[in-house]
Amino acid sequence: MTLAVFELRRMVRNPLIWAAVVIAVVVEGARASQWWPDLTFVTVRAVTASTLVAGAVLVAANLAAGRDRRGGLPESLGALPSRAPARTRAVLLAAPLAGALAAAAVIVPLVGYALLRGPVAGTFDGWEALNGVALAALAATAGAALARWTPWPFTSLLVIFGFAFLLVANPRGEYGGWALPWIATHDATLGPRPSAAHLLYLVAVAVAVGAVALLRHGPRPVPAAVAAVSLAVAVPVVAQAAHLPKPAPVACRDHDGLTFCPRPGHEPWVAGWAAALRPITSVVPPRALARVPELRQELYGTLPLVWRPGVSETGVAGAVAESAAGLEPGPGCGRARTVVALWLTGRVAALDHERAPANWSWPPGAAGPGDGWHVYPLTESGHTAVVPGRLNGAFYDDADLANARALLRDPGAADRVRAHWTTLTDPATTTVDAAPLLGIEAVTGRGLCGEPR
Amino acid sequence: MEPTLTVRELTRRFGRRTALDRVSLEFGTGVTGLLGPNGAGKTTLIRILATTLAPDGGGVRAFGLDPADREQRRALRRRLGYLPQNPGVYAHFTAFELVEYVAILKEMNDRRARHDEVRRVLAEVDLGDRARTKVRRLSGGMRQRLALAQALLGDPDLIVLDEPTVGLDPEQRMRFRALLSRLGESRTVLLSTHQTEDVTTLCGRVVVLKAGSVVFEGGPGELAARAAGRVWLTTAPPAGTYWRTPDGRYRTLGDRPPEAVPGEPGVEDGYLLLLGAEGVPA
Amino acid sequence: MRALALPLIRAVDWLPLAATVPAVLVGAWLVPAEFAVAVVRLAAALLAAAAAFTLVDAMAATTAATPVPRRVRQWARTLLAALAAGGAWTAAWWLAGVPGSPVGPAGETVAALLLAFAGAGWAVRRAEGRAVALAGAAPLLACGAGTWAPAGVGWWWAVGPLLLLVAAVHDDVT
Repeated sequence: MTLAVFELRRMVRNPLIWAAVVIAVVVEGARASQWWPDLTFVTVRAVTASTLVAGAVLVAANLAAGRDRRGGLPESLGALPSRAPARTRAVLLAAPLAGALAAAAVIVPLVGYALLRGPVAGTFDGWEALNGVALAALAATAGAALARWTPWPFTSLLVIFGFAFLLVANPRGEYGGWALPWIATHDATLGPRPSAAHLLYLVAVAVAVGAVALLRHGPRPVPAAVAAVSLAVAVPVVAQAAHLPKPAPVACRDHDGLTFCPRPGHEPWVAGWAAALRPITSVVPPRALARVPELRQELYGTLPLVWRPGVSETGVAGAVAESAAGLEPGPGCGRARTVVALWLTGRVAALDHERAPANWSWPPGAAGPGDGWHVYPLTESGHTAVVPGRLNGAFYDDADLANARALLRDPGAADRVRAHWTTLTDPATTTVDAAPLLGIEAVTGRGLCGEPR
Repeated sequence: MEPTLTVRELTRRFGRRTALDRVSLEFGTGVTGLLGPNGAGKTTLIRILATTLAPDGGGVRAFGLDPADREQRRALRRRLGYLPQNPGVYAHFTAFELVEYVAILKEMNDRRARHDEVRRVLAEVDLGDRARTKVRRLSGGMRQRLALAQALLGDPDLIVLDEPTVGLDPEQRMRFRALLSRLGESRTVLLSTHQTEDVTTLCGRVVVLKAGSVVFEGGPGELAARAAGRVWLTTAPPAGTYWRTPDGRYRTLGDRPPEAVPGEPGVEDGYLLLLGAEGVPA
Repeated sequence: MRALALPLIRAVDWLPLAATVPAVLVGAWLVPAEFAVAVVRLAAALLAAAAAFTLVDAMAATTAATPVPRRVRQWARTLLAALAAGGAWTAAWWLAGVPGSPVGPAGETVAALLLAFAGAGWAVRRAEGRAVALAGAAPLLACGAGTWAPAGVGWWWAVGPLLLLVAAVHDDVT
């Protein structure tokens, strides 16, 4: 036990581990600051960030367990009464504890930061957070086992990079599922993750790996039995692990004339969504707002599952403005209501650097869609919407954009648009016809609308 | 003595600890022994003289060259042989390959001359018949001799050796002393050691360091003379620190114990009295 | 230089690269095409971390006092390792069948190698032992922390400053 305390003291003072803690908190904290906090995702991301600490713990445990084979120590240690199994046991006790502490030092501040920022959606899953702690403990036992079974410190890096590969190439766990140490990406549409079962699995695997480390000192019944029992627990647990049933949907609610339908746990975001769209709802007559369909938060719904300020509102504003102005997907160039819809989106996100898309459909074989297209994040799991232009599929040209910009520069535009709403949103009203009502000098386009440039 | 190597106000710190504190010394042709307890700064001084560590203050000049200057340091290294405390080896090399590798790094570019030189230094350390043996198959003492062999490459003018006799058997130690005393006739040899016997038999001059400062500089006889009248032999165990001699008497240093007879002072007695080792009055 | 290169090739600790290269090549050959980019990027990081071990000189204390400057010895090790790692990465890129130009990924690989050399080069200045070279992986993992470091040709911009950094850590210790 004294040796374990000694190892623990060394581990807790290990600069490699604490440097990893700082980097993980800073990098993930900076990334998280760009998104509205969703505790469900925040917890998963915090655990993913803590895997950097797990890597550091793996290396530290590997070096600690392999210490007695470096620098001519085997000869000196060989004559001591305390044998190698005792040293392995000490590392196996100390390193997981230090690793768990360090992982907690990453996860707790990141979750706390999310709670402080608000409005917080989603639910905090304590089992999920403990997965990070267990991962660090597993990394520690793996480091010790590698030191005992392989003579080179480099093998610890092979394991770390292998794990990194799984995180990067297989983030949703398509291959391996819950048998993987960690699935970094959460797909909220599948329901809550089986975090408690996965925690039990990780702990069982960590114990099994620790027992395997001890088995290096000879085939002994206790470690062999512990390894067998741990695996007997881990295998059925992971075989049955699956996403939990989805929570019951929550009621839609009205706000500023629009109807918002959040996912369960996302009710705190409704006020934020409404505030983001207020530049539109404050100028559109209520009868026009009534035309806007319910804004549903779902995969490929109007409201995304995640929210990145400065990006997400642009996408939602396009859909709301298009519906409010009565636009439909297809050519809308030279129409007053197209200018009005663009003006509405411009009130949410500036049109200064906006260009009409050169192509309104993805050019075949092209790596990217080109100018004028927008990418909006839909989910934490990497789903995005790639949309041509600012309106939800309604075509416009640079002349419409120029007219909308002119309207945005006019402080009295809101009053005039509200006063002449019916005329301006009439499908028959052209921009030239509406120019006196809008108070702008209409710029006219080349006539082609939706044709590739 | 014409100094070949001069050290002025040399200071080196490691964090808050001062390993060398304004040390000034001069070395000429001959063998100089560097004595001192653990942590006295011997290895720090050796490393600075071997140009592998830069001082924080003060300077070194060897053969008119200043190692603080990159080009002059390189020129000095061409005239330097260095045996570090932990030399390290490539265990999968043969003895010949290992020494040849260092010879290449000492810019011995002519292959035939280099091979001759490698064979010469291996013979000097009595490893001529082990040239084709892998280093991993050599004993600890043989590895130490191999490390010494590389320090002798190129017949250097300045030879810096950090604890060179560690691990050598008595016969090898004798050979080593003979070799060094021969080299010391025309070269500057500096050796750091804990073996006062090496100092007694080899060194014309001794420098004792304590806590980063020079506390003695002179001949071995002068160091031994410091113990004159302070070495005693008794038949009963005296107070303080003592050790039993082969003839069953007790040897102690310092003030005369009751019924003690004077003993013959040696370098080690002078050294212990100088440092004021535990139980030994300074 | 040739006289130095031959014993240096033998002196270098090739074991980590020897263990990594086959793993990387087999991985690039076997994994499905959808993972090709990820495999090639991982190969870059893994080969860089392995290459960093070549900077560990078991005889550093002895060779430090030789007239051939430390920067020459360390750059020679760096070039040897970079050639081996670069060759293996090129083979992995070809085996994985990554679509598009290799210019961007190659820049990332060069940057990864230099990052690893800088990390390990800094560490071997300060401490002895083979395990010290693990420090080469630290900057690589730090770059990949939280999110995967961005891909693209932008890594070529980092090569210049990283070369200077490696030159600094390879410089003479005194």
